[in-house]
Amino acid sequence: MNQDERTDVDAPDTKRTDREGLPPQVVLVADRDPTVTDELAEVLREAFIVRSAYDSADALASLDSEVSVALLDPTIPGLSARRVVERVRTDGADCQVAALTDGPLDVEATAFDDYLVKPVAHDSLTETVERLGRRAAYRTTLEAYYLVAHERATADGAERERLDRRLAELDDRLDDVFGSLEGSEAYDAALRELDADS
Amino acid sequence: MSTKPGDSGSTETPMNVLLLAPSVGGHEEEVCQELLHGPGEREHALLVTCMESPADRLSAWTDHDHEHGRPENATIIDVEAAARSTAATAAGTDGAPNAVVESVGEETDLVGLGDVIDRHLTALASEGEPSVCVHSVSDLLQRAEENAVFKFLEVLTSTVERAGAVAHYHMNPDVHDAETVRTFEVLFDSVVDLRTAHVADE
Repeated sequence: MNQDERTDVDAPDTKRTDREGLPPQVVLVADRDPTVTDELAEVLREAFIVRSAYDSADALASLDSEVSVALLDPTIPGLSARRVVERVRTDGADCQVAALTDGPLDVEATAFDDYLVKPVAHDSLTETVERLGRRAAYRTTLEAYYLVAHERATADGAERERLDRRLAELDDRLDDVFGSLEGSEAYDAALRELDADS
Repeated sequence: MSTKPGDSGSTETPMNVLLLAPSVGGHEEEVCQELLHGPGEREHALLVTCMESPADRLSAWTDHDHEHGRPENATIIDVEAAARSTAATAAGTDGAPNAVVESVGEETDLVGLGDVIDRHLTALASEGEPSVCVHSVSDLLQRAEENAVFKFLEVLTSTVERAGAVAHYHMNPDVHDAETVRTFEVLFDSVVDLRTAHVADE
């Protein structure tokens, strides 16, 4: 397998702003079957930075703010969606999480954003991760946009001008990502509270 | 009256306008009607109402008949129907055969409300260029956190722009601190402040 330069997950944070609104797409894959984990990771490495995890401790440890999409098997002991969400929805970090399942899942009743039924077709795997990556980018950028708007409300002079420029950058980035989202999906990506009990 | 965004000298009609209307005075309904009908005589209206009944919003709109003519149709999304009597809701449709009222359940969150608005906006946009009135940002802030309402409105203003619609959003500056109003300002192309009848283009 080609380990190209994009697999360098320790790249400096500046990459985040150099990609015209598209943060580096770091994807975490963790299935209870290591063979499945490796297979999915190999497919995804063609387009994304990929981390593999083989147990819940590994998976939770890998879920830092760099990860924008996680594909997780909820049957891995200790890896409930709730634990994952508690992990990814803190300190402003955000991550879209899809379940790797053996059958259909009622996503609305869970904390997952989406699911993939195994065995996963390679094209739908890539498509799903790209879509979840756009949702993550939209959600993260929108949060930043709100925080800057809030800060700007009490700023004046040069500080306000600086924040205005920052808002304009974030607005451009939001427009870019919004262009690839359906309206109803944009609302969901922007606002869905992942606080389900499962 | 210099409250129409078009009067500010900009040749481009702002698509998303924040209408800051104080509790008393300010000709809120007149300005609402002018913004709804717009320079293009738009014929499809989408009215989102929270605390006011659909009948009230619709009459505010149709009172203006003589000057602007009646819109071909109006769709009203009623967010707080459960908070009012069903009689008031039903009355909203009685006198207006070309008005459709969709009530949004009490349990519906902003994602669900967004879905409903998006569905109607898409349908109306396929028939023409719709005009949208959101009444109001202040009421939405009673329902949800500031952070969530802000994000909701960013998505909504983006969908309005994509649909080729125009929209205005009522907000009562008397019930919010100045910081909240300034935070929300950035979401809009233009702000009409009826406290001063001053027009500021972003």
